[in-house]
Amino acid sequence: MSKKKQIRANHDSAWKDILDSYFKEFMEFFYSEIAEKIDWAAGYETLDKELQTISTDAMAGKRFVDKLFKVKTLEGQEEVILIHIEIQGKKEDKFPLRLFQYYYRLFEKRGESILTLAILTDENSSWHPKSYQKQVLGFPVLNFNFQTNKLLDYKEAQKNLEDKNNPFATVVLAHLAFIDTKNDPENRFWMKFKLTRRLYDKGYSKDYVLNLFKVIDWVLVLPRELALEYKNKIHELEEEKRVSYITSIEQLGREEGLQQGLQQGRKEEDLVIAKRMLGMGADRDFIKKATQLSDQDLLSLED
Amino acid sequence: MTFAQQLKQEALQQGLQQGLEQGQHKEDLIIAKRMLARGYGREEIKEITKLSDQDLLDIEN
Repeated sequence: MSKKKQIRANHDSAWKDILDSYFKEFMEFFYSEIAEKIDWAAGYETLDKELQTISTDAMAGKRFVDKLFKVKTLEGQEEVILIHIEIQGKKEDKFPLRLFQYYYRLFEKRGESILTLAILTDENSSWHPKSYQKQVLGFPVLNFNFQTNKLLDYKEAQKNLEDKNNPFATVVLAHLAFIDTKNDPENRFWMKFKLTRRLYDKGYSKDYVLNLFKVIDWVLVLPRELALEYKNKIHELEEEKRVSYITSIEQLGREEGLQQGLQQGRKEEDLVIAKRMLGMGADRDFIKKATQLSDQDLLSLED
Repeated sequence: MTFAQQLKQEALQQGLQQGLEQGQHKEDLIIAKRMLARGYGREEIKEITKLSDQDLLDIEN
């Protein structure tokens, strides 16, 4: 996978993961009126397997994250909601048709209507698609409606967002920072650090910090040098706050790597030295004794 | 891969590199000691282990 593709894949999976962890919060943040109709205590179910079997030609080459959830309403009825997030999308005339195709494929499969809720991450402030309508011979045959929410539209409420504890407030703040700092890596570095610092200042739990850190990290990609500086700043921050959410994970990894490396390095060096000794015509038994290699190892060197 | 896993993986790679170098050097020293005990000369040991004079002095003492 190329570096660029890897970054994209990470970006997409950041959205997926955070939706998996915080679906209720997602609904409360973006679609609060709908969230109020859902019986959250009754739990919900993800139907991702069903989604995977669905694809349309129009989806090819598009970057989006989608998730299908089965929820229960307060009246006790089961309903299915499709969350569709357009990632780094642009205004696209075919977008409503795309959602309609999605809808009818799912309708065909499930035999019932779903509610389509989309998130738009593009930068066109005048594009707010809400429906797909079709007339044939002047006769309206189709009126398919969906809901959209555009991250850019939260710009005016940016200050408010900083006080909100909903994880998607952080997601939106990160996205707005992404738009604001497109050609300004230095500024992006500071915005990124400020957003990260906010998580620690608010005293969130370790899991919560890590989940949101992931989104911030993947939305606000920094060039290599600034990325290193950012990491250092995080280390300082964790020291200051006397927590080690990120530091402890890294320490664990480094320790494990060191142990693996030590073993591997010793074995590699044994083989390198045995080869040199063989080349110099040293005594085979001594080579074995000095390097603790097996006959098998030595044979593999001689081939 | 979750983000925590990725962080750990990055750190693990760093540790691995460090460990490799340390492990190689450690093994050089061990083997040099065995060669010394066997009566190999200093030049020969250096040739085979690529250790420095200082390294050899350290293990001789």
